[in-house]
Amino acid sequence: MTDFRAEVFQNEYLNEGADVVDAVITVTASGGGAGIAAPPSGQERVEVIIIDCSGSMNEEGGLKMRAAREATMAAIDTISDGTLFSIVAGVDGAYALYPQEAGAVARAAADTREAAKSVVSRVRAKGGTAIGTWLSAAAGIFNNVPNSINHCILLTDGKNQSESDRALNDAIAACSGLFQCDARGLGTDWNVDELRRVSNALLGTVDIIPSPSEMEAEFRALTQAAMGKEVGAVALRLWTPQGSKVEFIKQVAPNIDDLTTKGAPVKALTNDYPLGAWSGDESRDYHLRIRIPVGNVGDERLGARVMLTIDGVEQPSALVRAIWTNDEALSTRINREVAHYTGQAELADAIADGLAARDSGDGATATMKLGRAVQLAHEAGNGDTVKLLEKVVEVDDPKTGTVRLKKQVEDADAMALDVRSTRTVRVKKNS
Amino acid sequence: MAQVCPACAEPASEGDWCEACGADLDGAADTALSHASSDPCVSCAAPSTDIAADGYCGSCGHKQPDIRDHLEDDQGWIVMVTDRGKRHHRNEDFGAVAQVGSNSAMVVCDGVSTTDNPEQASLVATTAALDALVESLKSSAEIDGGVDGAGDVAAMQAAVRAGQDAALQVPQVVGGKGSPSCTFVASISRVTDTGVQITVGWLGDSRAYWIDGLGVASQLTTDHSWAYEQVADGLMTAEEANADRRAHTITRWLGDDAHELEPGIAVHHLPTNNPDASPEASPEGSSEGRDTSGRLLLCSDGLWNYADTDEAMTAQLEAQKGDSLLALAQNLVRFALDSGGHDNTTVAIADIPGPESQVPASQEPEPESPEVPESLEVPESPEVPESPEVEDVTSD
Repeated sequence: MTDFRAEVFQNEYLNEGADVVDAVITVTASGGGAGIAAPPSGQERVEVIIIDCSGSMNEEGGLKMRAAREATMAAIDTISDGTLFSIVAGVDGAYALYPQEAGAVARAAADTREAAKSVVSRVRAKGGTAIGTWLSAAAGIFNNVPNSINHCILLTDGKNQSESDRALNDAIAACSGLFQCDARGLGTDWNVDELRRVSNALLGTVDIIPSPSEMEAEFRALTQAAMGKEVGAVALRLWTPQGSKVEFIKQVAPNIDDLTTKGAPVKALTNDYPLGAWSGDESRDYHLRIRIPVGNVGDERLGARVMLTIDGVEQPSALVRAIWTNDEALSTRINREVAHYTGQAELADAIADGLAARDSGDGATATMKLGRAVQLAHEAGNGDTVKLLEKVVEVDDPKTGTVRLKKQVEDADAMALDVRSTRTVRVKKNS
Repeated sequence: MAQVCPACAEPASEGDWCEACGADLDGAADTALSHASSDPCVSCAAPSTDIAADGYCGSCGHKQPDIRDHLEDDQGWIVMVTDRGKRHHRNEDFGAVAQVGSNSAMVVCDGVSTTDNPEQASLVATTAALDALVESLKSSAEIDGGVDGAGDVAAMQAAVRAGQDAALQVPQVVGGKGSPSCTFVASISRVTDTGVQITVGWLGDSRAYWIDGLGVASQLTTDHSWAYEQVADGLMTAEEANADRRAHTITRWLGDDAHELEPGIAVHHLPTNNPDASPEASPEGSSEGRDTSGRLLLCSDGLWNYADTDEAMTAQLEAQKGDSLLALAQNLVRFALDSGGHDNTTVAIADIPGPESQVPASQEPEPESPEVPESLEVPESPEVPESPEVEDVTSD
């Protein structure tokens, strides 16, 4: 049985007159199995894989399509027995590959896996890219299985050219809360912003697969992680006081994902923020910033009551508190967790701003922002981020953030830095 | 069964509920920390039904005042006042006082804030120790004739043990700060055949003072603190030691079973019928009666932090005196608050001896339950004692 626990890290002391409370909430699931898990009794697990079969997949002498077929077959082999699954081909519309009936699912077993792989091995690329229609097709499949843990892998190699941006946004909105989606872009011709919108709204991840040869391993890893999810609907339930405002609530580890606009009211002063599906053994951090009515010196107020709901059932709560004091030794204390993730958010922003300035030809701003990013990543120990930055800038001194923009930068390197800029490292725990 | 209700400090009735405030006496340690009243939120006036069990208002989030933030127990000639102070967000001190005839028992404990649940440790240790002291006073009151107080050192040791046992029952937090702990200071005053005997026991830096008929304070305890021990061992001057950040680190306390309990215990005898009042204690113009009355004061460091020496305490006793013993205790606490209120502050004071010492023991109708003494006047009979003779400073 998986146990969930929420811990709050904060400096609860506020200076006289202050009204902003920051807290880092660590949510930890434990007691469940790592690796492949059975879904809770009475629940199904549903996996949908959408492969881009647009004409551009024929480029590179058919290498991309061949890699996509092999990666999908590897993913099918990774789907655990009993899981319901469906393979969809994405073009101008979405086409059911296996089972061949639209909206249908098959139960994973040796024979269904073989049948699915047989279909996938023969699929050919031809047509356009309309990601919104692909998501809608996935929603149709998931809607046919009530009470299930739903996960989708979406692969594209190109921009969303065959439908309007609005159609994509509408489709994303309609899918929100129904399933989790990990979106992957193959090569460098896809649009980071489009896939990021998909993954942010659908509580998944986004990443670049720079070359077709890396696809199989990535698909296998994604499917494996999905098979490890054993708790489907976890939500962070926040009670906040009358007159307060949630400035933001965002996941800050393992990656930054803003949840602020995803709150759904459940009763007065109480909102649920969906955290998606969880394995029985993982931990994530969230940063809450809330503005509350000011109290008098000596007053103590609750800034937030933090509860977790598992499939709608409330778990015991943790408290975010505010105590007003005129003792500056107390109110100026820096909370390590809050400071760390404030830095990680600044790092992500510096990368995004630096890349945007670089794209618009503003070398001075790009140098300054990316230099700051190098400095922050170096200080916080984001080794992977430093490596990504080094492909875009020459680092003269990481301590001071002194960098020069590289003249020649691979598109894949710039895109990798962009999509991975929101990956964080966790605060180092003492003791 | 607690002798006083831990939630409201009224003497507890028999039964599971305190008749004064309705607190559950069996689960008193929990109840005392929660919002026990049916009052609306003190901040936004939301109805009491909106206030959660942990005391936070479900509308504005305001933490309702803890019933322990400020408590007073006024028994006329024996009083206790405790206050949260200005800097701490809860009161980890607790104090309780009781009378058995003209004899009194008082306990003050100060929770050690670097441990888990110190506010529970101080509460349960205080009530358990007071229970033990009252039992001892009651059992000896039943003896006809000679009362010599010889058993009071043992009674004090038993009270320390009872306080310790209670503190050890307080739950520790897994991965927390350490065993729930508190300081301890307690007193018994007992009218004997030959006078009044005062027995004081302590662990840590909560103090007891004798206040003579002239209002002069003398500390009866020696702090079990780093600063005191540095000075006692001749390693530092008092000034140097007190300036050190470790000055207030206590060296003995209740709640840790890793160490042998070694309370300081001091016994003081105040003889009756002393016809030769000492000249120093009897300045010109003072009445004979004033010379022979005295008081016993227990306090946490929240008070003496602002009046560290006997001279400073004497000066505050004069400056803060009011028209009643309760007023004196309230004024002393107010003085601590006005001086900064950096710590929880608790003061317990008893007139020594209690007023009924004028009544021969054989005529005492109900020695156990005179909640309102027959006379609230401080006795001025020449038969009451003057300054105590110190027989044994400490068992350290």
